Parts: sequence; structure tokens; C-alpha cells
Amino acid sequence: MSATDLAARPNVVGTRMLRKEDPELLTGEARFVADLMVPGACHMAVLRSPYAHARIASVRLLSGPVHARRDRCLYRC
Amino acid sequence: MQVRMRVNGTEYVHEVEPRLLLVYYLREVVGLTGTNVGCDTSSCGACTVLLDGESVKSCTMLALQADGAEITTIEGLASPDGTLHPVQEAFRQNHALQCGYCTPGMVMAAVSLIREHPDLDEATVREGLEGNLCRCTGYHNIVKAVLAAASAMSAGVPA
Amino acid sequence: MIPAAFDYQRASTLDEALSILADRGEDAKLLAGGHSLLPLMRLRLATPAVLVDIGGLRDLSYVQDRGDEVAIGALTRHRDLQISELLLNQVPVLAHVAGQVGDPQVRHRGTIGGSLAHGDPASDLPAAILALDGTLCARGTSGERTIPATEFFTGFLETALRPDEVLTEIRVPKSPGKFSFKKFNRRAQDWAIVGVVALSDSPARVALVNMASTPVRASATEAALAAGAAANEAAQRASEGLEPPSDTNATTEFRRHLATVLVRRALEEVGL
Repeated sequence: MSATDLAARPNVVGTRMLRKEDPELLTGEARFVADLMVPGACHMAVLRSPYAHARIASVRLLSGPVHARRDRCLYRC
Repeated sequence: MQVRMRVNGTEYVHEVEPRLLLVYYLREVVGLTGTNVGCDTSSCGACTVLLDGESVKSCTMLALQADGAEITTIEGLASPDGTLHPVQEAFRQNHALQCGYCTPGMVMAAVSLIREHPDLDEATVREGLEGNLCRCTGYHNIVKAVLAAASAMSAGVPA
Repeated sequence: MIPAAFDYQRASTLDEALSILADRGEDAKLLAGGHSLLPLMRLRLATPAVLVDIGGLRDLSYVQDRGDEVAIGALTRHRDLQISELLLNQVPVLAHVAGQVGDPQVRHRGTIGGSLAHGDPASDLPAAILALDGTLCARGTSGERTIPATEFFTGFLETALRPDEVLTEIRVPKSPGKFSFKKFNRRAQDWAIVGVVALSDSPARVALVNMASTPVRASATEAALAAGAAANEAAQRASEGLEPPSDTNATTEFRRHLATVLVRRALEEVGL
């Protein structure tokens, strides 16, 4: 890097900088993952065991229409 | 059922299921995803919008309860020419945000708070934002920003 | 968390609400601000078949001077109580307590009638109305009746309201004397782990939040005060006859201890 390049760069050291990402975040334009709506995306939800210490006794895949299919775990206490 | 409301100045009419919550109406039906869902249990305030000018948690209202109302979301706060609202500008200048997830709700709650308390002091801001949680900033710069916005607005910066 | 499906009926008059209630009976729930009911519905702890939205009945939102009493419409929001000049002058405890419910967003939606009809022992306003010896007015298809606050809260989330009744008005005696409200919680917007409302008006009254399955008066403390006991001594009897709940926030014993400390502070604050 030449001396001229250095001189052309804004001096950031000791300067108050505003964040580049803030305007989007402040106007609702920023997109978080939950804001992305991908056409045809599958949705999932995790059903956690209601038992703190249990063995999985079986896992059954229930058939049905794609949008209503779910895996079901049976817990044994 | 039919629901009709003005959101950021535009009139919307939709058929909705009665159980549809206002926040999901705004995000998924109207398509304004600036309003975030945080805790989903009316604690965190990320979903705060203005209903007829007052802050409410849109996750704890049915869309049907807003029938006939005027809703303002974070998308409707800046001027059409892109000039930020004094609260948005103060948040930017005071570094009152980091990840930005709580920011839309925090800004809307602040706008409502300033409207209700033209003479804000620090204690009132801290108490007035008790319904909004931020996990990045430690609140300090948020409080600074709201105080700065309030004084800018009372000095005549257009809201 | 999405509520279970329900029928939604919007009442445009009180009579319309009453006729829907008469028709659908226990299947129906009234929806005012929704800040007690909707969270329960989202957790599916409540699954009413019909919601009757009375939120639009503006004529049930008022604070009026009625001579010795102040009358409050059941649909008056916490925020409106908080800033009511009449309450600030004549029943300041109610304006103050309303301003401590939840957070500003909650206070913009929640109503006094909704809070009372929900009957949650952890809510602030029921204890305030109890301490004030308020009266609640209910309208049903067969007419109107009044219920003293002391008989209104019958069990955990249970009240004396019948399924076909709507709570319409709350009346409280003017109480411009000193008051104290102590709310102990760990996070700003939480419900009180224990709360205390104390009024210096003669006879002195003390009501407790979250110290039983209903909001309650600290009767033993009140009796001690009436018999001339000092604040500290009367406060020691705060939980007498009560069985406070035990939960993740506090054990029964801790609540008993908190009650004695908070009641003492409240009594000292009102100058007893």
C-alpha cells in the first residue's frame, strides 16, 4: 500500500462511526430468518419429550399427506 | 371473518380466521415483517406496534380486535422520502441497537412513551420500557436514545 | 402458540352480549382487552368455544363521581385509571396500583373488569378493590345485582359471576387518605410474588396479593391494628389463617416471611 492510498482512506481511528447496518434494522427492512418466506418451504416443529429422563421406546412414521406428516416418538418412563 | 384496518396509512380488508393474532396478520397477511415475534408470550415487547397511537403487544391481540383501528408498524415510521423518525435517528446516533431484533418494538414503545410524557426523565424512560427486553445493549444506550429523541422532538424536529 | 379455534362474536351492545351469553352458556367467554384470556388461550389452558368481544362497548369505559363513591366502568383500561384526575384526587391508591400492572403496552389494553373477572390472586387490582371495600355490579339476563368485593373472589380464577353475567361497573368509596402498595417481584413486569395494599383510612385495611388461592384481606393484621397494635406487631400476623401457594418463585414459608416484611413496610409508609 502506497503512502497516497493511506492518505486517501478516511481516518477511522478515534472517529465516531455510525453502523452501516442500522438504517435497515431501524426501519424494519432488515430480514431475519423468520422473515424469509421461501416458496414451497417445509415447516417443522419439535415436540419435546414431556419426561426429563426417559428412553425412546419406538419411533413411528405416520403416513399421510405431506403437510400433515409427523414423526411420533413414544416415551417409556 | 372480515377484518378491516389501516396499516401505515393504507386500508386493508381481509378474510381471517378468528384466532389469527395481530402480529401474524401484519407479518404474514399484510406482509410487513418488520414487526418481530420474540417470546410469543407478551413478555418481550418485540412485537410492539401502535394501535390508534398507543403501544400494544401485537402477539396478545386478535387481528379482529384491531378491526377499524389505525395501526402503525416500524415500516410506517420514517417519512416517505426516507428521513428517519427522530426516535429512529436517535437510536442510530446513540448506538441503541446491536442485533436489531428488539429494535422495532423498542422504537414503537418509545414513540408511544414520548407521546404520553412530553417531559421525560431517565427514571420514566427506564420504567416506561419495562415491557421491552433487549439482550444486547444493556439498555443504557437505549435510554440515552429515547431521552435524546424526546428532547429533539420537543425542540421541534418533526415526528 | 396459536389458540384453539373458536367462534368469534362481536357484541355492539351490552344486551347483545347478554343474549349471546344466555344462548351459549358456559361455552362462551367474554373478551375485553384480552390480556388475561388470550395468553391462557395461547397456552390452550383455556379453550372457549365462543369468544364474545365486548371490547367495543365504549359506554362501559368511564370514571364518574357519585358523591361518596367513584364508579368505574368495567371496560376502563388500566392506563385510563392511572391518569384519571378523579381517581388521583379521590382514590389515589387505585390510580397508583393500575399504573403498576404489567407494562405500558399491557395497560393500554387490559381493563379493570377483565382483571377482576379473571380472579387471579396474583393480580394487583383485585387486592386494591378488596382493600377499598368496593362493590361490583353485574348484569345478567334476569337483571342487575351488586356483589361486595369481599364476596366476589370465590376460588382460584373463580368469581361469583354467573356464566350469563357481565361485570359492568365497580364502585369504590372515596379514600383520599394515605396508601401504600408494595409489590415484590424479581423482574420488572412480573406478577407480584407477594403484594400488599394498605390504606390508612379508618379502620385501616390491608389486602394481600398472591398469598392464597384468591386475593385476600389480612384480617388478623387488621384486627390487631383495630385493637391498637403497633405496625410491627400487626405485620407479624399478616399470613395468619392463610395458606399461601408454593411455586418456582417462592415457597409457602418464604411468602409468609415476605408478607410480614412488606406489610410492616406498608403500614409504616401510611403512618400506622
